[in-house]
Amino acid sequence: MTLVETIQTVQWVFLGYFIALNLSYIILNVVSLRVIERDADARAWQLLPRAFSSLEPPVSIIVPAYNEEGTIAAALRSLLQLEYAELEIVVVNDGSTDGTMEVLAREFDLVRFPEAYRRSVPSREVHRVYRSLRHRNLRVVDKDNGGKADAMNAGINVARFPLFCAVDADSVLQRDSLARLVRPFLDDPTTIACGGTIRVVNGCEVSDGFVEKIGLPRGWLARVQVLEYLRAFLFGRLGWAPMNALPNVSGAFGLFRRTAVIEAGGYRSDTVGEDMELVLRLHRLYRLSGRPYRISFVPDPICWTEVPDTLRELRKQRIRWHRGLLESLVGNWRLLFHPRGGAAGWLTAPSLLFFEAIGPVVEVTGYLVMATAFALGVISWGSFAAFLTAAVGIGILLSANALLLEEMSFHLYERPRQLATLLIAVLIENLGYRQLTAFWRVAGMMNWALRRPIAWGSAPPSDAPPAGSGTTVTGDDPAVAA
Amino acid sequence: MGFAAISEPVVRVAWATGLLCVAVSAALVLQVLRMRRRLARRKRRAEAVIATWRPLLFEVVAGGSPRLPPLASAEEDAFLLLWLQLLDAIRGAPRANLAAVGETVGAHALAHRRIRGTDAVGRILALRTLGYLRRPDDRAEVLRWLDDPRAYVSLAAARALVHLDPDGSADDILPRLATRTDWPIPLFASVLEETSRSRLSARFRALCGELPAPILVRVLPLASLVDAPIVDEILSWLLDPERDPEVLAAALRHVRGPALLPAVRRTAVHERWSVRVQAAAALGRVGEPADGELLLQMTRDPEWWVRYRAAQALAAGPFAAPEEIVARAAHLRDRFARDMVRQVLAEAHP
Repeated sequence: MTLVETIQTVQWVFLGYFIALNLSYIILNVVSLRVIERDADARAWQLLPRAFSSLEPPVSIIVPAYNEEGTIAAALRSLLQLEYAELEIVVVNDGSTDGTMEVLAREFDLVRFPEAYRRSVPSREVHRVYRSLRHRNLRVVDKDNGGKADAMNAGINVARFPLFCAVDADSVLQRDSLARLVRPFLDDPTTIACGGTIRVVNGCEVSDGFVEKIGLPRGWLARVQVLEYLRAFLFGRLGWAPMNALPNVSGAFGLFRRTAVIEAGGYRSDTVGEDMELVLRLHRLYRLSGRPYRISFVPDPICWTEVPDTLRELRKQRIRWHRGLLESLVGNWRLLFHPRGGAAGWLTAPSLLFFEAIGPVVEVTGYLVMATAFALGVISWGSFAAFLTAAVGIGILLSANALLLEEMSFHLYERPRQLATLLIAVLIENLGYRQLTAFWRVAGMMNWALRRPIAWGSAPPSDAPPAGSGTTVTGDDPAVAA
Repeated sequence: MGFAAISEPVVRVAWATGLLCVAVSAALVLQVLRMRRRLARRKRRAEAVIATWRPLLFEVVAGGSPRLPPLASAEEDAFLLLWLQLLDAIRGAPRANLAAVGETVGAHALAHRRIRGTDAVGRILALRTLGYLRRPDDRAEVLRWLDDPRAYVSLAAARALVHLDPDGSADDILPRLATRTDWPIPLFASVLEETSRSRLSARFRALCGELPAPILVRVLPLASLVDAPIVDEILSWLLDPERDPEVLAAALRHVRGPALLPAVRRTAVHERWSVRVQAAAALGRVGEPADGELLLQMTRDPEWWVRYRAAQALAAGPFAAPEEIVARAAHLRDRFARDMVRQVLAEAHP
């Protein structure tokens, strides 16, 4: 095969891939448009007086914390102000090496609590459980460092209520976030998990743990991520949800049925994408066993999170995300094209594998092949420009559509200047940012292939109390022990 | 080798795709701008309505009778929203005064017009307006929307019906609640709280006799709105150990009266822990001092939740003083039971 024939073959492969990828995005967009239209209808709910009912299920909020001494107290104060009939808060100090534990003890008057600890899902050694003298519904679990997933498992083990909500310590919620997120569990008793829309908090005015005024970040890097989040949630998640094929419930704020997660074995601590892995595992277990279930999504913007504003931090995040995606897919490969896999097995998993996981490799290869061919004079400037225009044009269209969906639904960035900023961000996103993140995602793939260690916290703290010195019983479940 | 290497059709497709995408993107941005302009106009209008009407409505609430300006058609939605918000917030005579303002400005005719429209928001506003205006001849119209397939329209209709007819509305809402699995029970329960309790109780008793087990479990939480003797009557019928464990557990969850104590005790040794855990909790609510021993036994249950609820019942009920519970727990040979009692006492008496 000559060089020209090779390049011609490659270009047809790229074009086919490009069409399939963007067709899938366009289909998701169409579904999202319909859902947003229907949701605009459903927002008529908000015209009805909100009645807090004692029949709403109580919720355990689990907050894993590793070296959060600067933010943990404010985060908990805002959680304690959530409008919900009955909730408890379980903070899991995952072997922090800073003053997290001291801040918690000081700010919330912690006293040791003789928790009869049960190990429903595996987690590292729990040293002590504390309770707050100021807030009866606040407990703190102090444990060996084991990563976020391990901390979540420890939280699940001490949670008292049938639903648990995973919240990052730096998440900013709205007062009615929990009430909105619980609605799908009321509407459909087979609901086992529900996620909501996450928005970027950089640039917003936050007071007493709640967003007071919505703004855009100062730097372009974070501004572009505002668009990315709009796209990811307004058509990524929204498009999948009606098919009961949601690929992820964000670890920043998601609600789960405790028994379903315990039955699935809890969070896996050997992956960096523990939230996506858990959701794919739930799909796999329920689909393959033929049990009815629903994993829902609430499009309301109910959680705000800080995004990286430096290239270094962003690079680390994207590498971690991509590795998490690959680990989640490998761990749940049986879902892929399984006869009983339904939409999750025949649409979500293949899309994650072929478009999200392999996509960056194809994209980067495409850029390199086209640039090389152009440099070697194999293709003309016109051909090169045509492919670039197509790639960038599709990206711009998807981002512009995300802006339209936002306008149709929540209209959060209402000032004209904010719209202008976002329009410039659309261009930046497609002329540099996307290419950069594609390279990082390829690095994430390498990282996964080479099994390089990534963790949110590494070694256990040197001043951790000795194992077994706590007041809790950490033995096996008596049913098993007997 | 040369520029001919790239086949022309591919290049043409690429150009066309790119340019089409840019053109559609530009159209979407224009649409966003158009929507923004429309929204800004609506917002300005709403602000003007609030500035005009809020002081007047407050004056009415305070017992005054201000001169009311005519309501322009462009102001209708904003006015109804403001008026309904105020009505939701007040009770008694001021509510009647405010409802009279609605009649004066023509809210009744407006509601009938909007209810036949196509948008859900207009329909919700209309249903809520008819509810607050409380004209008996609107009952049939409101009832029609109770069967709307959208749960939020049904909920608005149910709320309006309760306002229109507090005595009779339970007869219409309750049977539908059993069949409409899409209706969230907690939201409709909060509506039913405003209906006549005696009528609701009688209807609930009749309904429970007709329903199959899974639906019964679904509607049983409404027992909290029903008269205690009727709840006891229904539960004593349900608390048969031979029944489906799910029904038993649901029934135990609503035990509030000591008359059911013998039946509760029988379920404390049920083979399913989901029943035992509810039995422990029920004993905590209605148990007698003699049940202390049974609860102490239950703290040795293999299931954590049964131990927890049994220990909670011991700590909260009339079984023994905390010191005595500690002393009795100390003699337990089962360390899981001991630890559970310690945990629960720490929860109850920090």
